[in-house]
Amino acid sequence: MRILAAATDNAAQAITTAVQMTGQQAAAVAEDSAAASAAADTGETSAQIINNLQDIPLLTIGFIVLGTWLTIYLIRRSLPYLAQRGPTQLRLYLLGAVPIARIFLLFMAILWIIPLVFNITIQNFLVIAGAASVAIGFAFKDYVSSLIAGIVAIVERPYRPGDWVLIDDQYGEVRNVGLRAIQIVTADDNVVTVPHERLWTESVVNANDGARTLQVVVEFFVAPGHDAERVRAVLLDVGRTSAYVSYEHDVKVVLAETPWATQYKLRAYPFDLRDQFAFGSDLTARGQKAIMATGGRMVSAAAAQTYP
Amino acid sequence: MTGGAQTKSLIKLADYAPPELPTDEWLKLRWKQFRALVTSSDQRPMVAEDQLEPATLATLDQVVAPPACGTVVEEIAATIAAREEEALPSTRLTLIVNPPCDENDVVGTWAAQNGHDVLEPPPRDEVMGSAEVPSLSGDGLLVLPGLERWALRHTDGLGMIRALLAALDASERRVVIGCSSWGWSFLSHAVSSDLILPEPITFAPFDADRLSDWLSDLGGTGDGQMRFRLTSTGEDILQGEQSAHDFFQNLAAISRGIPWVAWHLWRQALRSQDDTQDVDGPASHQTLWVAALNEMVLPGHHPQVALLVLHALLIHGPLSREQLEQVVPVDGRGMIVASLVHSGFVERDGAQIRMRTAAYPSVRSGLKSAGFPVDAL
Repeated sequence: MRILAAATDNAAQAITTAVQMTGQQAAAVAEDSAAASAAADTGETSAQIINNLQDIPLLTIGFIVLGTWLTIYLIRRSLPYLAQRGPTQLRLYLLGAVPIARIFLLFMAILWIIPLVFNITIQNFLVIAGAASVAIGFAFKDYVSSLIAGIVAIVERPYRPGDWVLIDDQYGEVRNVGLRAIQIVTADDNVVTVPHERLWTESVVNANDGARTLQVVVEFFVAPGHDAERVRAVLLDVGRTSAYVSYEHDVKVVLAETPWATQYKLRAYPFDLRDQFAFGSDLTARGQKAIMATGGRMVSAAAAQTYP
Repeated sequence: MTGGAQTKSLIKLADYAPPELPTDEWLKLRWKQFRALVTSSDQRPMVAEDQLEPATLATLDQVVAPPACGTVVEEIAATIAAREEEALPSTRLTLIVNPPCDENDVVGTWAAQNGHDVLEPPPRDEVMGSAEVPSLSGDGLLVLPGLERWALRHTDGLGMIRALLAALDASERRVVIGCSSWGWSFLSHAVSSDLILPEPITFAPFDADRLSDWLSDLGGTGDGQMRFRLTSTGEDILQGEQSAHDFFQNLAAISRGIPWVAWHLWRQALRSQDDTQDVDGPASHQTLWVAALNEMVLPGHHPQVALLVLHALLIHGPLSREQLEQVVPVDGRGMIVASLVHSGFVERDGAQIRMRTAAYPSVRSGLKSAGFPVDAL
């Protein structure tokens, strides 16, 4: 009897110990499960770069995009229109405001939209930066290079809307400074698109650099045996009596001898750079007539040049 | 003449400051100009509104005589008299620069009134290709009105003015020279006349008070026969009411202080009534009504050749068609002259073409907006 009771006691203790051990193990398992669950939640949060679709205010984003596009469109249409018809003194300022306004509005729109779409954390930023680096490095290198060059161009201003520039033997007025490229309208009414990327490797010749006028140079070649002082004086009068000449700049005539003729360069400024070709034509026609009236003989027909 | 107002002296050209518009009128004018920019050309009338009946014009010629600008002539007389009294070497040459559209030639009028020798400019046809000028020798003061008429804006049109400037520089005679402000700007650039001639002087701008006094004298209201009443308020414009003062302030600003321009604008604003009896006044009074000033505004988009023609007319004064062809060497000028005559900016005077005086403020504003070189007044 005493042996049975002792065995029963031992069994009871073993059962109790087993139950305790089971409880401890269960608690340990529960703790491990909780820890694992917490770790899983953190991982999910970190991995969620883009907000849940139902949390993204698509309508708001749509309005932002549409509003930005509409504002840029109105600015691109209205400012050049007013520049063309308004006072000459304001023309270049109005044209130059278009790319600056575009960059500013796009920047503000991007800043507004990004927090609505993306989950901004340091881990997400590193992930995106890494992916973007690969994409830029392989696929969008040239495009991004042009974009960055465009931003640099707005700051350094090698050209701006309304400027007359020479790039790649194309001389024309900068009509539009876009994000990736500029549009130049030549004297032949051709539109030339030049990527900003060219800025890194090529020179840009700017004839007026934001000013309302530029120098027009007209060349004449006169056969030897003439009175150079008289020809020079009469060409100065040709420049000073033009209907297009600016009173704020002096008219100059410079001479140089060539093996076959004396080269005269008549340098003058029109009061409005948009008249540069009419001005050059006027100087050429009246200059030829004046030289012949002095007894000089033209060696070849003079051509008006409109870039420095 | 001016009710006892003290005669002013001529001032330096650089000190000329046109009267300014009141703020509300300035805003109205800018709005009008902005509307001209954005309105398409086919919707915008480019015709001056001359609303006076021919019969009314005849009446006006009787009661509002063309201005003799006696005020300005008196200022010239006072200034020159003071200089002649001092007879300093530095004032041997006196240059008087006046605004354009001076039909009465105030310098020539002063010279004739005082019996001075006058060297009239040659006919324009003789200016081209010539470099000969009459002798300037003689005693007494010599007057050269219209310096700009000794030149043409042409390669062969500068010889005579250069010879004249050289003669003036070499002469020892005391000379008074008159020149239009636009002609002076051109001559300073083309022949460096500012290096030979002294600093120019001109009359002080006519502000609201001076204009009121001057037009009062011209209207002959001293004898009480004529009344000028505002159409907006009915008030007598020459009785010193606030609304009348506002009218003259606008007139002074729009005309840039130039009396003959103000006179033409004022005349353009006058309306007569069928019954010349002033029902509100004494039986002996006649009434002319003064409407709001209607300043012409050049359209926002206009042919460049029109501006070139107007610029040439301001520099030279009246020109014949052939002379216009010499100084504006662009195609289409013949047709544009007809258009400008029809629109009221230009008028024909016999064989010559000249700018309408009332159109001067809007033409100047249009040329300045287009970047043309303008005068200093």
